[in-house]
Amino acid sequence: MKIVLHILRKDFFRHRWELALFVLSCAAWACQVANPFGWVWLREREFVSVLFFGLWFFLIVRVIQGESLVGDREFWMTRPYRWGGLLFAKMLFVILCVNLPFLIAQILLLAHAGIPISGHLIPGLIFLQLEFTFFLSFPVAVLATITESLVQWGLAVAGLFVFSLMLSWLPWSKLPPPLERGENICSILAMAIIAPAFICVVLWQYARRRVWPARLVFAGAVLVVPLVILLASTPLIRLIAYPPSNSKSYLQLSMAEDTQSHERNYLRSGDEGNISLPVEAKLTDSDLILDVDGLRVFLAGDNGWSWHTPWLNNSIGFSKDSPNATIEFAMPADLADQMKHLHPKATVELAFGVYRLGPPHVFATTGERFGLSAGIICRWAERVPGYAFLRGSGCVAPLSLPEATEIRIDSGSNTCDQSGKNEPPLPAGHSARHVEYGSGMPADFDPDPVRKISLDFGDWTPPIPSVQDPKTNLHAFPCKGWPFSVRMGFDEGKMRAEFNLGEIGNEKDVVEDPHPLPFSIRAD
Amino acid sequence: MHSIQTTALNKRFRHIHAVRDVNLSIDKGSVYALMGPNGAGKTTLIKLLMNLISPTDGRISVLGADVTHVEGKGLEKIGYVSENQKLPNWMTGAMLLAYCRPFYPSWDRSLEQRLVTRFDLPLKRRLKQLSRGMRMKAALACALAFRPSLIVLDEPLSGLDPLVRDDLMESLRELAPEATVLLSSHDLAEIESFASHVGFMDGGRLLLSETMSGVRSRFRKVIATCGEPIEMNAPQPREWIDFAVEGRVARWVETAYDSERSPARAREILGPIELSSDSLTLREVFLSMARTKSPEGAGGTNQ
Repeated sequence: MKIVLHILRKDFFRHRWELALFVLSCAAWACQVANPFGWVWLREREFVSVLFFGLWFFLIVRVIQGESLVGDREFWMTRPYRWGGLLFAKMLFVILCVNLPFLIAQILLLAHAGIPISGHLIPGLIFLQLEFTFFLSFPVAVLATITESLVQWGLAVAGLFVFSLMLSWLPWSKLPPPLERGENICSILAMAIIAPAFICVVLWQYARRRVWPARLVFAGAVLVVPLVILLASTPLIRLIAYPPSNSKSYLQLSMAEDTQSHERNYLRSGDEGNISLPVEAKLTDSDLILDVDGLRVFLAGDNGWSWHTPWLNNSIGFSKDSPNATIEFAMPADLADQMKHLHPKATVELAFGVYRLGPPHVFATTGERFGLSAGIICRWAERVPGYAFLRGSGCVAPLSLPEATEIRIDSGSNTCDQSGKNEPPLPAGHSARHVEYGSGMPADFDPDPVRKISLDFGDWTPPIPSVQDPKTNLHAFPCKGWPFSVRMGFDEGKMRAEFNLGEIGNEKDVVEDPHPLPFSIRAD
Repeated sequence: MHSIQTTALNKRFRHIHAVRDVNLSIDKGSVYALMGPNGAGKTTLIKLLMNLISPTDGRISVLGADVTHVEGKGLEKIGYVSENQKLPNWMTGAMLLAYCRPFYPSWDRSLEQRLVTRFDLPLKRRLKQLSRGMRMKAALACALAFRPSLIVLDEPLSGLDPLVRDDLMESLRELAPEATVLLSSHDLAEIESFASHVGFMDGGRLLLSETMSGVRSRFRKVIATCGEPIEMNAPQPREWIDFAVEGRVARWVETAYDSERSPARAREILGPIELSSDSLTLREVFLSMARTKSPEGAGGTNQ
């Protein structure tokens, strides 16, 4: 340990100016994050972040290469260094000189956002440091162990950049788009391959200094990335991510009657026909929220005609209060024209996540600041004297958000003017809600530890949704003093299910686009 | 007891066979001078002994342990200085000494002080601001101050002026009297007065390895003078290297000179001749061998 501290002291002294610059850039970055519109000009804002992370990388590369592991001419190689001690000294340096200033900046950012700093934040803050160490510092350090100088490291990074550019030129759009859970599974798979490979590279280099084998392992780990991206689009991963379930377990889906906001439509534009199908979900449990990650539509008509869409990323959700949605997809116009005469029937396959909401907790909102569940803090802003509102990023939370949070307001206690036109108050029984999805992790991978919630309650929902109500399209704004009812949702799993929608329409539904767009509209 | 021993040591770099079947033994306490022309494989051999590179095949033992132990704690008794080594040039001399100190339990502060005084090291200047000679002195001070059992010096004198060379060699002699020293150098005059053993490498092979006194007695410059132009009665023996005939005079270097047998054999081959022999300087041995490049001619690698 004595030698570890001795090496650490030497590195502190050697890199004292770089370290001072890094701490200054960290402070500048924190100021910029805390005051995104008031501190530096727009252009410089990017510069502050680039400088901060650039110095982050620079410091790590410099300290690792202070005792370069490449070549056989380094002074330290013929001195009685223990490789474990050297590695530990470098790790300590990164923790003390990179993570610690970053941690302090994050605590200050949380405090600046009005989030009380207490012991319950410690696990999340440590988790966030581990995330940044693992995803940022570690790859930088691994590359530094197999390169001899900063220039060589820069060239290797440039090589990786060129490699990623070449990857981006590959025809990825020809693949079906990966769905969220499939991407998560593949990310975990990639990490399960890349992380041990990188650990091997570091240990191999420090213990044995076998540069070329270590470089080959590194290159092999990098090559895993495109393979994993490819894998995310495969049916196998989709099947693992969204196992088939009984379609009636959570909901029943059927074609809905046209409403003002959800209507059946076929819009032909050039070579493409865009079809909209209004659907209505009947959830088996009022405590459920369904978040659809992807869907595909199967069409079958007379004489054995059939066609189906690829998997489409689609962000629609269902709950007891919002059972309606529109499924939109595109198909070749000639096929769509042909389909019109064949009495097509639609089946939709949904890949979705199910969240179960817990019991509601009601929070008073009379103060200037008020707290909700999961450490969420909201603050009323007074745009004009006497008129408090809660819009934009009015609420903040530390580090991460629960998997699902439903915030609901009811018009029963309405006292403020919603339209701004001095209209009479909304009758009781209307409700509006905002659902915020989060990772459910101890902390999200974001240097800014403050999660900002843009509360958007959408339109007021009338007491009986199927009845057309003149106030339906009135946007809901909460007023100071209204109680907020908050329910936390927990992931019950991801799955897929097929729903038969029945016949979808005929020739009369076709509308020719009076102003066809000069480009085609993709369904995703 | 050997401080260094190698058995059938080989090192190949793709198409280059840098070290070929080297069997080297260096006795404890000896000062071993490794000679050879540029590209002979001296530095590669030293890097193998210092575990800086791995052998392709063969075995190496350093201070009684396998060479893989020449790392970490195993380096606490080995001092290494090389002309090619990258020193931490951002440090001052004082910082370098202070930094090296805690790594060695046997570090001798009074010896360090003597070395600093002897080398006249400017402690407050950064190494990058020092001359090459001063940097080598600083490196040598770090390599000697912990009283190593084995000192390995790879071309420590190359490019240094004679005054600095004298100073370094003198210091080495005085300050490390009990250590085994392995030294590769082109400075043959300095080595001659300093080394107890000598080895000669060329083309990756160790052509000669023995005591300095053995080399001095074995290698003789022989001049044969005849009344008539010289004619060979038999083929030139392997032990005769650098052989040349000019009319009635033949000159060669005898690599296995024996005061009784060598003149008799010369007369058998060259007929009635008058012989005179003289000892060779190390430089002359080096040049003769460099011209011949024959392991047989060198007479093997006997200690």
